[in-house]
Amino acid sequence: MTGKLRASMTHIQGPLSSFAMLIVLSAGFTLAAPEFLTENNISNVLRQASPLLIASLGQMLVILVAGIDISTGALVAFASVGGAVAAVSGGAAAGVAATVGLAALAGTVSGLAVSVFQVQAVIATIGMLGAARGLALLISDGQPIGNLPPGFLDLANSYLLGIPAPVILAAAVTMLVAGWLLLTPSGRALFAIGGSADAARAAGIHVRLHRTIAYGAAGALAGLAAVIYTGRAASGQPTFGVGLEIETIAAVVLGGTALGGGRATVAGTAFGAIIVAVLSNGMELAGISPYIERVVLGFALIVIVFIDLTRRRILENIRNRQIAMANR
Amino acid sequence: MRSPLAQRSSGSIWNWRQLSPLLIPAALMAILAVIEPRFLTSANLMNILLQASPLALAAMGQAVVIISGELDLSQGSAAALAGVIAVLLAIETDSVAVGWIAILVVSVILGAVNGFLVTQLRIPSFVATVGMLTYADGMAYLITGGLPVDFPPDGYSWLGRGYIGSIPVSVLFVAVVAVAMHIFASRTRAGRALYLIGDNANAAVIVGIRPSRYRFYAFLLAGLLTGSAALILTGRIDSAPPTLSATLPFEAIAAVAIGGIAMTGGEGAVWRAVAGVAPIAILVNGLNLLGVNTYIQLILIGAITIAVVALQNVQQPIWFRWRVFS
Amino acid sequence: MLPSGVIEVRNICKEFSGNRVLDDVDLRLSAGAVHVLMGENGAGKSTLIKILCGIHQPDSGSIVIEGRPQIVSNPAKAIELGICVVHQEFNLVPSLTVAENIHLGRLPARGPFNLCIDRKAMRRKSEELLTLLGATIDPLAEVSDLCVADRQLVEIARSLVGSSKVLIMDEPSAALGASEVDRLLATIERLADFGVAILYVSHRMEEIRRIGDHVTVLRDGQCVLSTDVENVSDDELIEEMVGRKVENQYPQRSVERGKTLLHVSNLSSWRAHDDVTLSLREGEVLGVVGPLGCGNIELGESIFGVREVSGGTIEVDGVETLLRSPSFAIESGIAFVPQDRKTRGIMAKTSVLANTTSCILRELSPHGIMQLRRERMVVDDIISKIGVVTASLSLSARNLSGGNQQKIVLGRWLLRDARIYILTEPTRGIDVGAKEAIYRLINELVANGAAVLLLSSDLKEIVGMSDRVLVMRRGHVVNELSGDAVTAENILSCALCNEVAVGTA
Repeated sequence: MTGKLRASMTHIQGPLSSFAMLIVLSAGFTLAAPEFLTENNISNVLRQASPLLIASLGQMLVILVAGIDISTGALVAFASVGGAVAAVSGGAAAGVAATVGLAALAGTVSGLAVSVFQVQAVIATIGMLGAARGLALLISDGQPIGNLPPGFLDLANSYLLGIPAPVILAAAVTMLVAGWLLLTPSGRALFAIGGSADAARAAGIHVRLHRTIAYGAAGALAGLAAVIYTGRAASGQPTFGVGLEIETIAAVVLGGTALGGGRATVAGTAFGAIIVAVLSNGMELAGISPYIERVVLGFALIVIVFIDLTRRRILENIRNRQIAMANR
Repeated sequence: MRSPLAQRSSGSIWNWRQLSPLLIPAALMAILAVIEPRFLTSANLMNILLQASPLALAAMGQAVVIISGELDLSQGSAAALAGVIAVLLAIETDSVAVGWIAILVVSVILGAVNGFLVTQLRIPSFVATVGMLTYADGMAYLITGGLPVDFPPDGYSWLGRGYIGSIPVSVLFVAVVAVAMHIFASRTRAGRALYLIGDNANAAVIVGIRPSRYRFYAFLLAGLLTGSAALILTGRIDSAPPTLSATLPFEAIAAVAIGGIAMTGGEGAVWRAVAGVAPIAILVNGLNLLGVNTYIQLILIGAITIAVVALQNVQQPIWFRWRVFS
Repeated sequence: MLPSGVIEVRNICKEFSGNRVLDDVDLRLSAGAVHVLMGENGAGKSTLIKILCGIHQPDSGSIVIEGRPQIVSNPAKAIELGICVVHQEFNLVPSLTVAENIHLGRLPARGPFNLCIDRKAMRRKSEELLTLLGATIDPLAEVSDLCVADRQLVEIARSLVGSSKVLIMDEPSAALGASEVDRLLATIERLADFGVAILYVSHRMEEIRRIGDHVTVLRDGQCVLSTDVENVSDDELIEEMVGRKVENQYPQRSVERGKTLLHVSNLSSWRAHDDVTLSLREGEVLGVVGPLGCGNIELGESIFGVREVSGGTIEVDGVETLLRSPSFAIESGIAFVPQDRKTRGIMAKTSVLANTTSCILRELSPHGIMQLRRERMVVDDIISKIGVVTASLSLSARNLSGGNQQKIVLGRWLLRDARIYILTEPTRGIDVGAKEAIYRLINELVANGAAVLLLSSDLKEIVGMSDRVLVMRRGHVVNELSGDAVTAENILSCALCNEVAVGTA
């Protein structure tokens, strides 16, 4: 029975430690700025965190299949602008569909480049970064696109039973992604591919197809996040999403997902995203300039990744020693 | 002149990767010359060279890092931060020399940090340099409050806008650096080591070469070249905005790819990075002349990067390795 | 008399580029019986297995399954026909659970559109299979937490998910510790009881005696012996494996031994080798050999500084040195040829020239500047000496044949005047001509006073080239042979059997 216990412990460890981090951070910020723990602010933070959470889940999917997506922010901008155009001419529903669809399309293109043409994920998504950002600027001519139909704005600004709609959306998406990864064969296939693409291929799993799906889904999730950003700003903006990639990567790593692929934790990523939002919010309340935030973010990402990598290396070493000892 | 490292794939030179740095610019120029008569004037061609100079420097820096098997995504923000600090110092001390030296020193330090993160802390290079990007970006904004630092002392912009005879200083500068880089790659121990490491780091270890040490040098060198790119860029506009060329690393990578240097490392002469700048510069220039939206440039560069690398891999699929995480 | 066969292999012949790898081989596997396949490196075992599991097609001959001739056209067909193989490298995903690995690619689904994984069914089936194998592994444990032996059981379980008539196991005990091997053998006995026909490739006598019903020995592609295990003695088996041909393919030499260049005491490395002591003198070739997993290769890595050492000392030329990394070893005058030239030997994209001079980079570049002309001269000189054939020195090394690549991997160390050479599988995967060249090179090295540590699994090579031989088993040195006692039979006896055989002469 220790096998199952140990496996569960590994799975809980990520979300558990990120949850703990969250509590500690919140406590810290409350001390520094008591307004932090007000109902209003908490609602605020959760609302801020929602699109980031959704986008981070997408990043998590890509990292799960041993990839990385540097284009998340650009996809958001591209989708936001394209969707806004569609909304203005075709109505709210068309707008939402276009936003999600365009981002999904872009993600799929990256996915194809990575899986079929074997372009490195970094390079492929860097290329997509430029292309998407460029398209966003092109379509919008550098200006925000306003005059959106009210239906479109509802998704970001309305409340359902007192809870902001984006939060509900984020929760729903989290459930969906978790369900997909845990319960369905295609979800598990992603784990297999990330863990050992060779083993997956030998077992008959369609590696290229599933990898592309992961990138496409990540795109769609970025698109969903874009819907919220657009609604909040009441306009599609080509300047959205700057730095979003870093925030999503930070969220994923904080949550306990390994950068090397093969493992992922939905709960952890969710907590990770909230942590990043809390950090941002907390610094705001404490009166720290947004520029310092950027500095801290860059620094934090490196520290987070370093700690995560070192932790894994140490655990690996310990495990190897144990196995060696057991074989004497 | 062929360096001892010249590698030929089996047989013919009719190979996309070998020819692309020559074919693409030639084709572009031909098309543009036909569409837009203003293109082939000497003034315009000089303009292209001018525009290409800072990118050429950055591309050479990126090439060194890519050849060693890593990536440097921090070039743009590092350039901005270095520029900001340098111009501020130059104004403070009212000395052009201080400004020039500062910009190089800061870039090298940033490169050293990158190198440290990647070789000592063993953080994957894309994470480390992206972190550095954000950090440098934030610092640049922090120091300047978001506003460009203007009015460096007289003479600062000589490198960016000066002329020696009828040739711009920046173009000469790039030429000199290109020669120096060629010498570095083909005639120094460090240069040779980088190619060996990028090709097969494990085999390099067996023959006594230490990958971490030389990769560190690669990042230092990239920092230096980024700094010189920043020198020209700030010199050209006589100011140091915190947003100096945010797309620099991205264009540099595109140039390296178009020039035919393999993204997987271990091969490719450095001149190819410069050659890869040509199509980009020509494209940008042509599109400007035609009055086409500048945003399209961004799109095209992105799309071209993916396409070029994909085609590279189609040629030699067996040699692809998942480099970033190894 | 054997019961009617489940699967029969009749008159199989296979040629690879003019080399007859399998010559009229017959094999009969019966349900519930363990058929052992023995043979040296290159005898044809792996080719036979590949033919059985559909990776290769025989040039002539047939495969008959339960009375019906079948064509095993590809691995998927083999699985269909009930032929399962457990290779040495497991195809497991470490981050997934045991149950998921067992069902990799075949996850049972239920519900609308088969959307949901049927975890209950998966768990049930996994428990079934694991119990069948006698394993006490929790199906919900993560594979990365399991030791090698358990992982192997998972791999076996995986191959049994479909209906299997035949289970082929390729040297399964190589990576296991002694107690784990016991468990493995018990598992195989259970499988046999269950009616599966088993083809078991191994060299270890005690295993063969314990579970083998029938044994076939291959030698040079031919089936030289096929009989019940109880009807043949260990010595006879060894004789058949080695053959009575006189081996004269190895160039002669007679060299004076000099002083001790390398002395290793009690050298240990986690999971690899334990408490190894050896001495190496000028002018001698010391072969270290043993069955797969004996630790000789890892020993070489430990001495050269590629592998972390957990205990013991190394003395080079009387001076105790800490060889923490290859750079240290190289400075002490040690050269190293790694096991796999593709991953650690040759830099594929780089030119032949640069590959050759890669180990004297520092010497060719005083003050950091490369002396290109000197480099060119040096390489011109050495390339013809070691016999590398290439159209041009600037050709990428990947364009060279394996043999030429290997000549570079070994020969480049001559440029350093290294005194101690550690060679790991130096002639693996190269043609006969290149092999001869390598052997001549080795002879030249020792004639000039160098010392060679030859780590190889090629018995003939070890016998033909070594002055002394250390036999290793599971990380320990079990015997030392020298002079006339260095024969294939003696080595095999020491390596495979428990009794200590002939000593030094």
